[in-house]
Amino acid sequence: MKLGSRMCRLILIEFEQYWNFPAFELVLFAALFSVLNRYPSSPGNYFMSVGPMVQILVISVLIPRSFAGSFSRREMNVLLSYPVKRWEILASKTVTAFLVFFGALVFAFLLYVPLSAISLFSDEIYTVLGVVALHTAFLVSTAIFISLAIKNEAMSAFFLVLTLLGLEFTLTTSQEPYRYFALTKGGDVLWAWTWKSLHPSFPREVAFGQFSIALAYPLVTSILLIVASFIYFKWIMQLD
Amino acid sequence: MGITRLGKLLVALGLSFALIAVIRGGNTSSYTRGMTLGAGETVEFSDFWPPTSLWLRVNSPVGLDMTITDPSNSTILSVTDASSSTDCRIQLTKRGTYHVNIHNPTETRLSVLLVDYTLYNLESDIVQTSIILIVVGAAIIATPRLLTTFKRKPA
Repeated sequence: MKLGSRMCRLILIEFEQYWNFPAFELVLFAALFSVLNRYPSSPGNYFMSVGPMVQILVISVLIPRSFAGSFSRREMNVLLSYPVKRWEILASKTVTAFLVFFGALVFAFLLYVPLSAISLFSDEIYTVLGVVALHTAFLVSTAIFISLAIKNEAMSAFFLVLTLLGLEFTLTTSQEPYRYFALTKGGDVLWAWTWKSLHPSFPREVAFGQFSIALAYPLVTSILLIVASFIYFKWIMQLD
Repeated sequence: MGITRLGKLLVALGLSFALIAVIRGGNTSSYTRGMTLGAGETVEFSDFWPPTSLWLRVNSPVGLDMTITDPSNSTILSVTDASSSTDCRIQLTKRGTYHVNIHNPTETRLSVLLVDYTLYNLESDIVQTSIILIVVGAAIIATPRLLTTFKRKPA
């Protein structure tokens, strides 16, 4: 079997894990709740609402189920008994996790079209979705790394919820420039800077330094954690 | 994919919409428009409103004429001699852009006129969508079970 078809097969197997009741419903509900929880609002207001917190919670609970849970349920051993490489399994799990969480958020943001009469071709939705994609990649890569390191579903979820929510609350209330490391403040700055560069009449001023911090932190962290996860899972991690 | 799974998904989606409708309905949205109107002058402005309840208060020293038209251009409110005592509650039936016309019929210039809008209550289209999703989902879940229950065994 070729690499492409092997990957598609693995992604389908992984997607079935999320499709099982009630994981998929939980992902959809979290996305709808985090995006549409208040009226009136524009898509950009997502970053100043409870939306990012809800995403931290749901990703922290569901990713360990897929990664750490596959060790305790011995699904990983079954998968590795097939002629597939370790990196292929990790890549398929990572891609599926990102697609499921980001896909649910895309669905929720597209509901702005009928609910707030925003055009489907409006760059307002797509600007916000770009920032949301970066944040989803950051949360997914952090949750994968922690799940692989701890290898216990409940402990990973507990650790992730405490760490990510604790960091978010601490950073949001801290001084400049640390507050732009938070997903809420950082997301707001990223969105506002991008929106301002597309529409110069937008009345808000965002410094390039703030934008750089808000962009670099999730981007660099995601890349480092994904690379570390791949190195650990392929060469270091021992399975029974 | 089992048909029951689709039913469960629709019910969950419907319940999510119902909860979102309750949360959004619980947050009242208020804003005030201030304007200056010359003698005999008319102003028109447009607002995007959801199908919810609108509470409108006018703060004007003299009587004004006021009309509100819905997205299909039907007049839903027409008030003559609206002053500070004017206090209307309207049920908006459609989601869309509403046009508000305010006319100063007097010979005097109004320096500051304030109109307060408060949107409250559940958004009826989200509630309807959630009810439809829950009913269709429940029917999809129940139908195979009922068919199995009432299926007669062959003699």
